[in-house]
Amino acid sequence: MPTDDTKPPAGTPPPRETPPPAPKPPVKPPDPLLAVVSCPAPDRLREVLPGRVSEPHFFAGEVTLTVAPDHLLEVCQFLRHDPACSFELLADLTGTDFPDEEKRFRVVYHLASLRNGQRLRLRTQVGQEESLPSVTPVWPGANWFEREAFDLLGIQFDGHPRLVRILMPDDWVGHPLRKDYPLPGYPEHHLRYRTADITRRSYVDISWKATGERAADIVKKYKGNVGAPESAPHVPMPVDDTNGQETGS
Amino acid sequence: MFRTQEMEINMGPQHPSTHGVLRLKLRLDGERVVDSWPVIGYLHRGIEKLSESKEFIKITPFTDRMDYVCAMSGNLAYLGAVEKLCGIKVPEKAAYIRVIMVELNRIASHLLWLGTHALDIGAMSIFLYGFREREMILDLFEAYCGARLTYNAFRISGVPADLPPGWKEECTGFLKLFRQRHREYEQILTANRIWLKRTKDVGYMDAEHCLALSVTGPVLRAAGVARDLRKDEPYAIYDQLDFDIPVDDGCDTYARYIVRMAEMLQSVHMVEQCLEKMPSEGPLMGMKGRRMKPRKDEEIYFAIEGPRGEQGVYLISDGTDRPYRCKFRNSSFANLQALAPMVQGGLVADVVAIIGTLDIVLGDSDR
Repeated sequence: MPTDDTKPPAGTPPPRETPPPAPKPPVKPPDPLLAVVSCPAPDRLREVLPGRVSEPHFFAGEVTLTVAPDHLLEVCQFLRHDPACSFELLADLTGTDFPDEEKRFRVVYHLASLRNGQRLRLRTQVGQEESLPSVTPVWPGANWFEREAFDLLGIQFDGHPRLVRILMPDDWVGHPLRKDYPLPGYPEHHLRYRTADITRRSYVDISWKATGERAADIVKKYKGNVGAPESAPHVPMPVDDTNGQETGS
Repeated sequence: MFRTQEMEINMGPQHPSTHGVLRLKLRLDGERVVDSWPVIGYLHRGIEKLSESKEFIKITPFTDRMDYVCAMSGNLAYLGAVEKLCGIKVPEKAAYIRVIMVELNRIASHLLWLGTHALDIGAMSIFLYGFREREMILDLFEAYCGARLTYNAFRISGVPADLPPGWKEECTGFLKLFRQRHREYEQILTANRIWLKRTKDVGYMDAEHCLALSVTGPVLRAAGVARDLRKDEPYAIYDQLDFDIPVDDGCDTYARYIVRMAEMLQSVHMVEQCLEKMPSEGPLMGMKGRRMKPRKDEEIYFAIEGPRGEQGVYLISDGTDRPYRCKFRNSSFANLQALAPMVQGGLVADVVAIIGTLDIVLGDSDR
């Protein structure tokens, strides 16, 4: 009679189960986008102007420093003239609207150093009613970039030689790159320019698609503000349907 | 009694020499320019505002419409920025095809500059010659991507198609021909007495002022600064290519002519190397699918060396597949700032030469 050898004899304690090794958390390779890159500017700033800028933030090989508007000009002067930094070129200056934040606009300065082959991004926050010092004394090329930021976002720069609109018409109302500015624009502005009179084609029709309002309703709604469009009724362009052939005998 | 009086006139926006719709308010004392005020924005189409409402993949065609003379560079700058933001790798073969297209487009852009610049100054024939060769490049582009001006030839993470059969041979033939034609242009202009008189010491701007005014590209290189992002911050496969940066220290219109002419030959050299080194097999796209997942609340700036200078794109992501902010740093916009100091004190006739030498594209500056 075959015996079951595998069955342990009675009385022996059951073999203690070894607990399975705790699952190791999978080791993620560090994200190459977050690698720290070497840049002398943050260290130099920490040495010479302590407490003016934040700790550097690294992403995709780029260095970002945040600075308060009060220290902006001082930091820019230093970065431009210090031999270890020597950022001769202001590659770009622009702003972004964050309407939910306390200080609404984030302004960035992209600096480049030809001598050291470095790039740096300076970042600052400014509220809607506040203003930033203009960096035109440091980089005169900031002139048009600041005009653009003023034009499209409404950021004020103190000490700018002539802060006027650059891309939009001089008498435009509003700042289009703000997040609360609607993409199709404000229909009353379209009417103000009376494009319909000039081109015989109504821009209101475009915004009607976006807003769901009929062009005629919009015209009625804004009639009080901008003059009566009835005075210039829509006249369809005469269509030449003879297809180039001579008509008549 | 003769009396002189300062006079304000408008040049543009429909003046043929303003290369688009640049308007220049000039204050003149006789034939001397006392002061000037460039007015731009006639081609402002709100591309940055539009981009905020589109997916990353749908913004590429807009970049064609900005610098329409060199649309490939615009594509590459934008796509490079998206790839940098999302950490996407581009396959080697695709990178080679991109560089071939961009360098050919640089030649085409410089040819258009040469033709129109010379035509403004008064040399008619070079305009016709330049457009003859540009036509051949556009034919090559048409064979590759079907379009002749607004290419939309690249995709995020690669290119959509391999070079069509026979394209390489066509391209090699063109490059060989172009080297001969390039000598013809030089024969017509480089030692031409009228050309020298119209360009020497016109529109002088030295390196210090160029850098202060954020001027980049051939204008800066003609002031003696060897700044070229293809060497300084190599992107795509430029670190595997052998090329020089043409530099001249004349700081004037003639020096810019010399630099751009030499750049065309360098581009020819680069395309030849690319055609030779390009792997014959390999993937063309580094990514499957179309959904982008960038990291939340990050920002990047990516710049390439366009034919007019540093062409940068600044992106802020909010974690979705649309950019929160998409800013194009276009070289025409920055270089146009140099116009007012360059024309000041010069003759009205030189204003035309200076607008030409800055090589501006108004679609590029107005966005």
